[in-house]
Amino acid sequence: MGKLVGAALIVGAFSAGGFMTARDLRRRKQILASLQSALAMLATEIAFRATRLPEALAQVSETAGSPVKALFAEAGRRLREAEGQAASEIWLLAVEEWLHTTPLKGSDGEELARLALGLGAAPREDQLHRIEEVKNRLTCLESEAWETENRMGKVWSYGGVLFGAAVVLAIW
Amino acid sequence: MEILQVVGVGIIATIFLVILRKQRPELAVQLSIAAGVILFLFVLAKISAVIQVLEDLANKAQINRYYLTTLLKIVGIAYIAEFGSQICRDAGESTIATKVEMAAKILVMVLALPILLALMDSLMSLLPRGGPS
Repeated sequence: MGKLVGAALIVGAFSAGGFMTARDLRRRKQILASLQSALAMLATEIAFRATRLPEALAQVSETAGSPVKALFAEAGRRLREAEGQAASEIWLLAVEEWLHTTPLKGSDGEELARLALGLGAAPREDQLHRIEEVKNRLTCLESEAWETENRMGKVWSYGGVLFGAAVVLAIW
Repeated sequence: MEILQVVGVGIIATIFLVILRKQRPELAVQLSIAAGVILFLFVLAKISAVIQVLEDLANKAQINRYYLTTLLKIVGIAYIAEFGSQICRDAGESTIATKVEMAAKILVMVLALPILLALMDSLMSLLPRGGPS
C-alpha cells in the first residue's frame, strides 16, 4: 500500500510539473497579447488625451487584464512617488521586478525595456513611435509563443506523466 | 463484453475531446490522459491475470521472481519510451525523440544487467574447469 502511495505521489509530482510548464507556455502568449492591448491604450492616452504619464499608466492598469495590470499600476505608483528619478529608470525597475512574477522570457523583457527610451521625456511623436515599435515586436514574439505552445504544450503535458511512470517502473 | 466498454469509453472521450479542443484546448490534453488511464485500468485485470500465469510458470521452473519482475519492467519502459518518442515526433522534435529512445535503451540495459550476469554464471558453471590432464 505504501509503495502504491509513493508511486502515485511520484507520478503526480512529475505530472504537475509537466502541466505547470505547459500552462506557462499558454500564459506567455496570453500575457504578450494583453501587453499589446495595454500599449495600444497607452498610446491612445498619450496621443489624444495628452494625459500625464503617471495618470496614463494608472488608466491603462485599470483596464488591462492580470498580470499586465500589476506592471502598469506599479510603474504609475512609482512615478507619482518619484523624487528626481527619471521615468525611464522607473519603468526599467518595474519591468525587472514584474518579469519575475510572470512566465515571460528574457527576450520579452528586453522588448518591454526598450519602451524606457525617452519615456516621459522625448517629444510625444517619438514616444508614440517607440510604443508602436515595441508593440510590433511583441506581436512577433506572440506568434512565436503560439508556435512554441502548439509544438511543446502537448510534449510537456504527456512528458510529465510518462516520465513519472518511467521513474516508478525503474525504482519499483 | 469488456471490449464494448473499452470502445464506448474511447468514443465518448473522443467526442468530449472534439468539443473541448475548441473551447478549452488546455483541458483537452488532460482529458485525453485521463481517458488513457481509465482504459489502462480497464485492461489492468487482464494484465494482472497474465502476470499471475507468468509467475506460476516461473515458480514451476524454479526461476527467481526478481528476473520476471525485471522483464516486466523492461516491457513497461519500452512501451513508455515508444509512446513518449511518438509524442515528440508529432511535435516535430525528432531529435528529442531519438534521445528518449536512447535513454530508454540505456535504462533497459541497466535493468537487464543482473539477468546477463546470471546467464554468464550459468554458462561458466556448464564449462569444464581446469586444463587438460
